[in-house]
Amino acid sequence: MIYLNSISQGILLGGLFALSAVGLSLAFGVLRIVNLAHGDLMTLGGYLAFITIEHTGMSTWYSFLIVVPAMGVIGYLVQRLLLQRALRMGELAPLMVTFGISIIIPNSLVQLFTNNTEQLPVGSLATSSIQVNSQISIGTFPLVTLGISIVMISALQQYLARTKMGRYMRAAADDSEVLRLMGVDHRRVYGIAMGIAFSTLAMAGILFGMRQGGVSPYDGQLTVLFAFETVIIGGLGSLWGTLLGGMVLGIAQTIAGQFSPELPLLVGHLVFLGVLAFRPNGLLGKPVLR
Amino acid sequence: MSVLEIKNLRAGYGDLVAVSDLSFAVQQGELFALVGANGAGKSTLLKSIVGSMSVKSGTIIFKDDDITTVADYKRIQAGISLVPEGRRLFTSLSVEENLLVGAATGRKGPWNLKSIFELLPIVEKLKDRNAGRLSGGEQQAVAIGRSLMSNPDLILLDEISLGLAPIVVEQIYAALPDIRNEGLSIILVEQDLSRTLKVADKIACLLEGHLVLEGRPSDLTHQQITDAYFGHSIASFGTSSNGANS
Ligand SMILES: Nc1ncnc2c1ncn2[C@@H]1O[C@H](COP(=O)(O)OP(=O)(O)O)[C@@H](O)[C@H]1O
Ligand SMILES: [Mg+2]
Repeated sequence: MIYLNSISQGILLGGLFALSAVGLSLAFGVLRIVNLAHGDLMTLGGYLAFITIEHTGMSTWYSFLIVVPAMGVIGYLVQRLLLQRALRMGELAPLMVTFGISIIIPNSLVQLFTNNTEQLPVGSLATSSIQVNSQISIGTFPLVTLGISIVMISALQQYLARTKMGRYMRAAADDSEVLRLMGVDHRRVYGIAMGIAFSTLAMAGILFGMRQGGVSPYDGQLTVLFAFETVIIGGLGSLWGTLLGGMVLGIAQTIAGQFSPELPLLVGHLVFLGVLAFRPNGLLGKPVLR
Repeated sequence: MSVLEIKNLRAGYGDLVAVSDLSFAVQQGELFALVGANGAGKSTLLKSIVGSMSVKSGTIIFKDDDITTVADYKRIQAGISLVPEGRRLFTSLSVEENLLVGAATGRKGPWNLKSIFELLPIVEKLKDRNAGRLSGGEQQAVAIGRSLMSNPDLILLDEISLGLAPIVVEQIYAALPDIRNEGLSIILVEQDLSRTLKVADKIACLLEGHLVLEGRPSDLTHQQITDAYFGHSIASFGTSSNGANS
């Protein structure tokens, strides 16, 4: 029964992992960019929420309305102004750019805010929970987090499958040169894809901060790892795989946490390595072409 | 009126000059066939026209506008379309989605899903199929349909019969008259001389990057054309590389 509780906690945590991973998956799937700064950008999203709260006095929930679109714009600009130029210089250059960003963000945050944790209050949801039975109780906030994740992933899935721009994104992933031959500037498509990636990672960054009681500058070092593991476990090129990957990682971590507080990270990595060894395309992934 | 005019074009890869000193014009509604052996520079010329590679020198004029340095995707928006060598469909999209991406320019004209399906019934049958799971002939039909979806004024067809079974080539060529009926200008690149001679209004022969022969099929002897194609006794009929104003 104690496992049932862990599993349900793991599923809830997994939703957050999945949300934090979709942007990584999108950036790699469409633009073939491995975003090493993914976790630090999540942290940045958390800090932008903190700044918003400080300056306006609004609740953390409302800060999403400002931070998520803002990060979308930042993502678009980073793609158009930095990464697009780097893409012309080969495959290593974009990697170096994101690596550079991953250094700049936490160091700047330390300078601006010190090393301390800044609060991102959850509000009344923090303490409320749903008692399923005597052993299992589900926190309202993690449940809301999972709901947001599932809604976002479904929405993104539909966007990619059904809209014109979503079609262009999938076409660009296949052959960006031919997409241009259809009269579409693939750089714009890339920019929008990166904007969406930044928006989703910002959401995940704020939710992570809320879950942990706040954000601190080096949070990204760990969250980027979870995001990468989630993508690989679930399989590239499948958003539902990403959701599944997040849950597998979440469950592995929470069950391991039952035994010792040091175990979750280790067991999470072991599950990741196991998937890599036995199902290199991930649980739901298609073989990656080229 | 010429829809496309090429003047002194020179293009290549790094130090390699693949086409040089090329001049010709394609008239409105004309089917202009470009023949030449492997490596003659045909694809390079088409890629230069559509802008997926930049030229070293020369001028490309499309419908009275100098497009020599215009970005590729803007040339498509202006009404040029290329069916690339090797088809290059979007393999993770369905056939219908490939066609819809082809319509990205939003240009108005006779071609839409319905008319493409009428022109190429095989494409309609396959519309929900993944484009990565098609035979070569099916891919080619989809690639042509996809290009037409942009309602171009000028379409460039690069070796559409390459690697296809003769019966499939027959079917694809059968669609050409209907495509032409809509007033489209066509540059058709082929290695198959006899088939090309049957459909072309004008034929030009590329040899090692130079235009060595240009004229109406009816004005040229078979000997002239094969000589130009294979590079024998070029001097004997003394064509200059500039035959644009016939
Ligand atoms: N991407 C490329 N990089 C370098 N050289 C190329 C490239 N594509 C073609 N070439 C060279 O340019 C010349 C013309 O090639 P191409 O235009 O493809 O000829 P064709 O289409 O007539 O067969 C050939 O010598 C070929 O080897
Ligand atoms: Mg060729």
